[in-house]
Amino acid sequence: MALNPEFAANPDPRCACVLLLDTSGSMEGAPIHALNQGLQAFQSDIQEDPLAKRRLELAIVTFGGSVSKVQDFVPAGSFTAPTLAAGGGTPMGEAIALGIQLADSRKAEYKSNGIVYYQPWIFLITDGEPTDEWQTVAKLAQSKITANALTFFAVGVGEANMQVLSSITPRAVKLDGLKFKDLFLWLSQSQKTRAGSKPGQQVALPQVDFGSPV
Amino acid sequence: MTSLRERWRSISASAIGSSHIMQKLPCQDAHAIVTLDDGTLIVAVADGAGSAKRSEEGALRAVQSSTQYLSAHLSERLPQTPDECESLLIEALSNACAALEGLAPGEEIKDVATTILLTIVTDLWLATIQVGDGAVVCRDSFEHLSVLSEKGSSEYINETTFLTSSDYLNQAPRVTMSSADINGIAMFTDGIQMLALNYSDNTAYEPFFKTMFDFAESATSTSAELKEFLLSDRVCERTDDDKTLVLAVRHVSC
Repeated sequence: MALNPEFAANPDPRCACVLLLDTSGSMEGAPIHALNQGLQAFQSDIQEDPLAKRRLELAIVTFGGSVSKVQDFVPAGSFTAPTLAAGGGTPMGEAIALGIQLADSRKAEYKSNGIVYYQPWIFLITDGEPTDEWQTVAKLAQSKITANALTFFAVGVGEANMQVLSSITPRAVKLDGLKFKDLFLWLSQSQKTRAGSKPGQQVALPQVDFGSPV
Repeated sequence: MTSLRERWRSISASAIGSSHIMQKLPCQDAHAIVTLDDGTLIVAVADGAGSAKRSEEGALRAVQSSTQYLSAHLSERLPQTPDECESLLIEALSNACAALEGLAPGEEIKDVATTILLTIVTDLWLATIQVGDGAVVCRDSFEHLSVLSEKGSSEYINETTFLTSSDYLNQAPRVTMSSADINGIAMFTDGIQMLALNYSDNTAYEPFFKTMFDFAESATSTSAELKEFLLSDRVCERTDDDKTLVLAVRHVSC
């Protein structure tokens, strides 16, 4: 007999990823240009993967002068890389607070809709140091990381204050030059690995080839 | 004892997931089914950890050693109480665990990490024990479906418990119930879960099981057909993981 059962209409499992991008004045010129190119490369690479396209959800927060959610959570398949402009100070503390809040509330939405999910990621990129209060939110980030509530990567570019980044997360990486493209291709590979991972798999992330862990 | 014996007829397959093909990993699922002369049914289903190097060996060894252990003991004596069922299943797990230690001694045990799901159905009892994800669904004579597995306790989908964890018994839910009214059993790894269970309330998705049990009851159905179905595009669109499905239905024979 033909085997053609109906399937339960469960939604795909989701992985939420929040990008926190420094667009302060010091990013002007080559750095912001390289960052934008990196975002483009990320878009085209992630959209080649049928599962990551559906399962990865991306949000973007920029901090340059003010903190702005330039992209609310969108499936990676419908993501269009923004072209960012640089200017202003570096309100990193406020951006991290917003990033954590976005990740938490997305998780709560998954939960209330019966959607299974992966641990959310926050991915911060900066070339400087916070110009606002950041110590409080750094503690919050640390406690979330310890509680297994999120994975937090912090990437420092150029003159970035790596001490600040290391005090926020153990996963702080110094970017080689302006290797934004390699960085975003790595992020895309990591998210693909996660989206296709089996339950129980402690995913082995690709080797960091865009910089040096601090 | 009645002269009319109800026997279990089973159909089963383990099939590789598309993500495993892409990542050049083998199929890390395994299963084993034994039917004893007295009609007792023993089923084991295992899902090797994706991150473990030799988990396909671990999954296979776990289902083989546990079903061998259960066959030997159930051939000697059938458990009379739920407690006896539970003890027997726990012994079978510890036997499987020892077999994994033999396969990969010391620290290497991580390389053969696997989940396992064991079910026995005797004349009196249906008993299951579970380490890690996957699920058991049973059907009674009113065609009512029950999910005998708890919803996973971990928050994130890519986390589970393995038989190789030192404290696996603390995280091994077990159920024993009367087997009298049970006429169908389905056991599957998490690759099937998304198709077969409603995640929001951990109930069985009836249209899926209706078709599957009808299929298992049809005398012409084969395991090869089931495997072909599990490898079909329709299934792979929804799940990229390895997937195992074991279906057992009672049928009357003289």
